[in-house]
Amino acid sequence: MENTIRVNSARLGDFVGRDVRLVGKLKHLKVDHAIIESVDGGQVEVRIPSKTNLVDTYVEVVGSVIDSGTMKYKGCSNFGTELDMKLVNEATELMHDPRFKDAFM
Amino acid sequence: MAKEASCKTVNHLQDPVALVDRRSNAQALTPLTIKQCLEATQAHSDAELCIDGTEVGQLTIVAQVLTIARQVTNRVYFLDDATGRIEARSFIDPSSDTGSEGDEQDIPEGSYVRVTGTLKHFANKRYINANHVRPCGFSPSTPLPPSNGVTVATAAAVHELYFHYLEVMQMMVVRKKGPHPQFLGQSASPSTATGGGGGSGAANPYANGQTRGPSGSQSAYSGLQPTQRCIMEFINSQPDTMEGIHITAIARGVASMAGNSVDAAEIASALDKLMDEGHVYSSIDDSHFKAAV
Repeated sequence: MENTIRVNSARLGDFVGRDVRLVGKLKHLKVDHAIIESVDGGQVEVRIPSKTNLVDTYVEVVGSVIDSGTMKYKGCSNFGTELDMKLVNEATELMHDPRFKDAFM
Repeated sequence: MAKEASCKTVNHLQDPVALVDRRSNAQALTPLTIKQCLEATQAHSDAELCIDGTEVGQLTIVAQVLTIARQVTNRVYFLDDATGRIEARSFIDPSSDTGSEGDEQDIPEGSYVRVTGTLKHFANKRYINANHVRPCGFSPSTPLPPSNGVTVATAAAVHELYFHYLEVMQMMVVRKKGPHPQFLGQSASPSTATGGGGGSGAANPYANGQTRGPSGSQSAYSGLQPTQRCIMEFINSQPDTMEGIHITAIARGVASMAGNSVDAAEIASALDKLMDEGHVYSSIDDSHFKAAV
């Protein structure tokens, strides 16, 4: 399965067991987990290995969904210090719209 | 996919308008996701690749570079845009100086890039023949910021990614419904501006008109009133005869294109305007008109 669906926190529960991409603000970085505030405002716990590349204010995490509020880290991209969260959330929601699903999932 | 059918050559022959449409699309730059690239359909092995029944010529994608394989004559970028994975091959022009290659070498693995090129296939594998690969968020004129090895994306780069997704969606709507009337002239009538449902029938002639004929016609007519544009499209769609087209034939043609009757006075005043602006001229008498080329 090469398709990693872009989600916000509200849609996480629909993809349990699948690989997804979650974009958001890095709120806390602890030893074994990170808290990401998703672009829709919801908080997601990401279980991380001892070494990650999570650095920037805004990050994109690729991982598998454990449940509606938790995912397991597989990789990430740093998205810098500025991001229009509202725009990203609305674009993400549109990707799940039945009109556009064909192109994205 | 049910959309395959509209791609077939048979339909081209039956529908001359569609033929013109697809030909002009071969020159268009279509924003796509990798999933769309992989799912593009082909009527037969030599046919053009089609998406939603529309031929894909030049395409542009935004994706993350997973790996870069540098070879003597080309570079192979392995790309992932979250919808799928595809290779993009960028051939190195031996005659070009190293300056233009330099910026491509600066693309770090893991960063987001915009790739422009054409879809090819070789040994049952689809790939993108890339004309151009550049990092997202940077125009060719602005230099790359110093790479500290950590931050791979700036706000501009990430926003370009989401801009691209939205542009992909916009093009899906355009392929389904035709271009928004707003892009075909400033003063489109409110009935076509609404677009959906019953209005779509009326919107189609405009949509076809945009891509019909020589490339110059699109810009020449884009500033016209809807009625004037309809007249020009109708005249251009008719066989070119010595005597031109009679005004009643124009009125009938415009009415059928617009899907409702059009006031005769409106046709007459629109024709007067078109004559003033040099788009049409009266031929054998005052009631026959020809289009100025």
